Amino acid sequence: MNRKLKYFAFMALACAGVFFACTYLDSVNIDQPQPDGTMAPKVKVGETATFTIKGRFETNEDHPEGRNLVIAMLAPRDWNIAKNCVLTYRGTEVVDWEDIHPMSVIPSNTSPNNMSGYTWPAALMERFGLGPNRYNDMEWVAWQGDELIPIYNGTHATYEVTVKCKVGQQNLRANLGFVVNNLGDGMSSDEKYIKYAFSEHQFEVYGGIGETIDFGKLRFNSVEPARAIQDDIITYTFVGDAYENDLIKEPEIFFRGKAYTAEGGVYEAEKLKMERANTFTHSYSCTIWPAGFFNIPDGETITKIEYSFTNAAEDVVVNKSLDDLMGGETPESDDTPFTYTLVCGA
Amino acid sequence: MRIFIKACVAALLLGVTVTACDSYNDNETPGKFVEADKQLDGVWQLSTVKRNGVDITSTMDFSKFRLHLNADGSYKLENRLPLPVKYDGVWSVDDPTHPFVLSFTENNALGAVEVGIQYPIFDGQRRLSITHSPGCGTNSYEYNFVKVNR
Repeated sequence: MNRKLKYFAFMALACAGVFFACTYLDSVNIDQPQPDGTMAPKVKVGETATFTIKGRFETNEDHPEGRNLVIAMLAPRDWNIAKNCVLTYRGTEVVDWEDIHPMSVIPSNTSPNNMSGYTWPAALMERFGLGPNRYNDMEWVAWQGDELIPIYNGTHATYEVTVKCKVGQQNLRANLGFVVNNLGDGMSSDEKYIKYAFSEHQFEVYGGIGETIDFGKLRFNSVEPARAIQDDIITYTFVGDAYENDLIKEPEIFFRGKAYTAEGGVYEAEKLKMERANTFTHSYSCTIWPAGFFNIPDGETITKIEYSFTNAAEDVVVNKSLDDLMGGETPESDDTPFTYTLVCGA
Repeated sequence: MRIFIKACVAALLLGVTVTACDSYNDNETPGKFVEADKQLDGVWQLSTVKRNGVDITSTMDFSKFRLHLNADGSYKLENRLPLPVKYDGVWSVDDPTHPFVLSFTENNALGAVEVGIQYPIFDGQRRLSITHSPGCGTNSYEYNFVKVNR
């Protein structure tokens, strides 16, 4: 009985186990055709960018019932890639190269087989993080093939994944991340079956309103939500640990803001005390309803808010100029405030 | 094999024990259940606020805001916050016993603004919960109100 039991247990495990192909990710191309005919890793706000991932599978097992390709991508939250990207793939040998196979976002209620308790986005962030990016306003999303691909012993197939994304409205520069895996493997620790790559260069979105956010840099400021208008409730955070500064030595830290309306009005509010998130980090936040906070008259609409962080006496200031300086740039002046543009975008 | 049989017997016994317990005894008479009072008129104060699913109640002073849903059908916003309506007006519900939609019509406005509502009982108190997007459509706010005296 014991031996039989062991045999069955082994068989059950073998069935549930993951056998797929050795996966290779050979290249990621993020270059886009430019108006002047050249190729460059950039696109205008709201336009569609096409990324291509190429690689191979090599197998030594038969799986005529097929396996399900998984592709994941790391991109700025502003793009909302789960909604705004369309993924397809094609392959050689096991499928016809001329056939284009659709992919769908893996539902948020499923976990990777080998990272139970995590959703795919959370598991990917845990495992691969942000790569070369340092500004955390990014997300991983995973897609699975809508159909299974049969696998045969000795298959040496190449694949090509096309990712078409309508980018957001924010000017930004970020390294994009890509992962190739399969549903059965489900993010196992065996690197034979899972491969990842971050784009060698930053991808840029340009032509929008407001400053360009460089995701490769730490920043003194962060704002939530990324997109808001005057009847939203907005949280401004001073990230005091981003770089060395004198403001974190102050007992109290304040938000100093100025609102500009489309009608030409400029409204300045009293400085507002920011609350420290906890005693372990120098992170201070305040939350405002802009229309109420700046006392905007009926019929006027805020288009941007300029702000900086300061102490009670307002003689120690952290602003965009200091942020740029610490980030290695040469600011034109030392008193440029941060700017938050109030627009919903597409 | 012997262990296997023992396990089967144990499982059977356990099953018998569990099903033997007559813990569920329905003494309630059908029809005795009475719909709790879902009257929405009164003065409502915010107890919690969520933005895109995250609780932001402690990050801003939401305590001064009052939504007066008067019994005469008028409503008043006191110390206004972002809401689907800006001005005072009249309110109504789609169904007095099972309201799922609360309509606000601002004075001098042509059309009504409708918001989906829920009214759970929490800590023995009737709550009023509305989810709305007064700013960008991509941001959603959940306002949870409790009834107060004023």
